[in-house]
Amino acid sequence: MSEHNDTFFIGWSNDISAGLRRFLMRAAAFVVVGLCVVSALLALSITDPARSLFGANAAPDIPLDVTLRGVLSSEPYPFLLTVGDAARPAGHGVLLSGDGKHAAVIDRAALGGQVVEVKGLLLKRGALDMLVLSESPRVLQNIQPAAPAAPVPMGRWRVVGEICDGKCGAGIMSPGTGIAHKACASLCLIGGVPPVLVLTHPLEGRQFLMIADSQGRALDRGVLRFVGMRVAMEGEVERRGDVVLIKVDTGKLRRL
Amino acid sequence: MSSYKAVTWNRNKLIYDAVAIAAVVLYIQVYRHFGAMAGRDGIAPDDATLSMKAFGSCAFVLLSGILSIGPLARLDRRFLPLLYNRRHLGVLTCTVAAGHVASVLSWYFAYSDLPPLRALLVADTSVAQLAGFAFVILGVGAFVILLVLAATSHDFWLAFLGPRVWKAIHMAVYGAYALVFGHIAFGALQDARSPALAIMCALSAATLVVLHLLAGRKGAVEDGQFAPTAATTPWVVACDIGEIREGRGFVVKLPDGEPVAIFRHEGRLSAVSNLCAHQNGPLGEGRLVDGCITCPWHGFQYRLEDGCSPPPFTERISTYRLMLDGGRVLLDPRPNPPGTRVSAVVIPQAHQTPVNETSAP
Ligand code: HEM
Ligand code: FES
Repeated sequence: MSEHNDTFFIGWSNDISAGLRRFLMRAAAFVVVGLCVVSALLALSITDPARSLFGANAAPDIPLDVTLRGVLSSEPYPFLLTVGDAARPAGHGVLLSGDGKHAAVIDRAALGGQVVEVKGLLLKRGALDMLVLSESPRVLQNIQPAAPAAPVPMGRWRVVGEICDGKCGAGIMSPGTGIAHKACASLCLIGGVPPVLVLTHPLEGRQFLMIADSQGRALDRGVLRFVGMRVAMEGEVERRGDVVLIKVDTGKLRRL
Repeated sequence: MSSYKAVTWNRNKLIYDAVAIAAVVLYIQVYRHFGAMAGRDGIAPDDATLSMKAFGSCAFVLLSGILSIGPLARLDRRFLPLLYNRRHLGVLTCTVAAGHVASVLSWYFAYSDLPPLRALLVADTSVAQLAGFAFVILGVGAFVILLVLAATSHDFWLAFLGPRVWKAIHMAVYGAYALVFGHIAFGALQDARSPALAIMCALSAATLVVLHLLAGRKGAVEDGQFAPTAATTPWVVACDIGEIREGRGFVVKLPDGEPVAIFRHEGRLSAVSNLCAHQNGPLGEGRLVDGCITCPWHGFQYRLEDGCSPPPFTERISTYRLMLDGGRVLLDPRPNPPGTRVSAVVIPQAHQTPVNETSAP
């Protein structure tokens, strides 16, 4: 058995044999270089969970400050259906939220169904538009609201997708989806940011749906445990403008 | 007055710490640099996320390293210097983990009405399911353990709690490792579509298991054999004189499992507890330096004749009585109170044949 006779190390003593000194220097170099290599390999291999969700070409657009006009709806979550202008067609749906993990601050009773002007930062990823309000919506007195567009029923569907908060999902955080981000998304939903369902397979061309409970109300906290992962669900689907809403039987949510 | 004596700062410790801190700083910088380029797949993570990942994975790698040092030092004594200052590595790991926690709290758990610490506990409580298990809670558990260990790492606590209790508490580092492993497995690994993180975790766990098994096998030999009882009570048969080499210790286990180290110094034999008063280091694997037993872990010293540290130090360990029966060494398994003087047993001329050491030609 080799004894490394010369290598007995006494921490408080500064005379370390040359052999041991060489060994330790090599060990130190190995540790430093090894850590750098591990670090680089791990960092280079980071994958974006949103890619498997939104597909290859769904990098978010650069957020822009915009002013939009449209009819405000407040159920199940605040959203706007645009009145139509040079930049956007009429009936285009834009979800609304406040800053941070907060709901849009809106006097729902007074503003629901009114034509309003809203300002804020528009987050956009694929067909998902989320406006982060920078100030309260202003009612446009001179434009009469058209009769509220009736929801168009699209039948009952069984779908698979991931429930995420519409704000991080729209790309304000990267990654803003997936399990690692689950607690963050849950906090957004608790705070009133509208959730969205990003579908694994498109439903009549739609990649994301607005999601409510079977009564068409905002989801309650019971669904939080299904956030950030692939789930199957079933519900009535309807169209409002170009936004599609699914009213899911939350009791029948199933993890895949 | 509690008489603790810190292992003081010295040049070796400074170099050790400098290398460890440099390695951590490099790790974080390299991670940030390459992570920002990881856009080939979807979009690159934002800076806050990169910090979380960099600090988190660094803490995990450090933890794996800390747990390897013990068995490595057992397998090859040249690694003992790494053990010498392992506690600083523990505190560094806790600091790096704190960086991870701080970046998580100021990103994922910020911007809401709930204060971050409260949010931490209420945001995700999915503990009754395996898929989507609340992995954050596992991280919180691990971090709490690391904090407790770092806070009690100082020699003051070691003296206050006694090496046995202290050591038992510090075994919780294995619990922390297991919790972090689950934290990664149920968290980041669920999202990753590249195997790199999974491979790193698997390598870490496999290395630790193999090292501990090998070291355990070697340790079972080095920890000494059980000493059989001799013909006359209370004596036990420790070994043959020839088994103990000049200037070295020989370890035997008493019937109650207590390990004892017998040293041979200038033709005399003395026996003391094998457990260092500092952190229970294996004194029998130490050396005699200036006639004192010197612990292989942090260099605490004890006089052969009474188990006391030379002044100004005040540590004491138990001594044992020895007797010769022909070529056999007999030992009284009842320990003397720490610091009791025992006269060394003189080896008769007939048994003085020194055991030659191998040396380079
Ligand atoms: C209060 C305690 C902790 C919290 C709140 C926490 C939170 C998190 C979160 C949210 C993630 C997911 C981030 C992501 O992958 O993008 C994560 C990942 C991770 N955490 Fe923790 N953690 C805690 C403690 C720890 C500790 C003590 C360690 C290690 C010693 C650790 C190691 C890791 C590692 C290695 C990852 C995976 C990083 C990667 O994606 O490569 N965490 N943690
Ligand atoms: S255990 Fe620390 S010096 Fe012996």
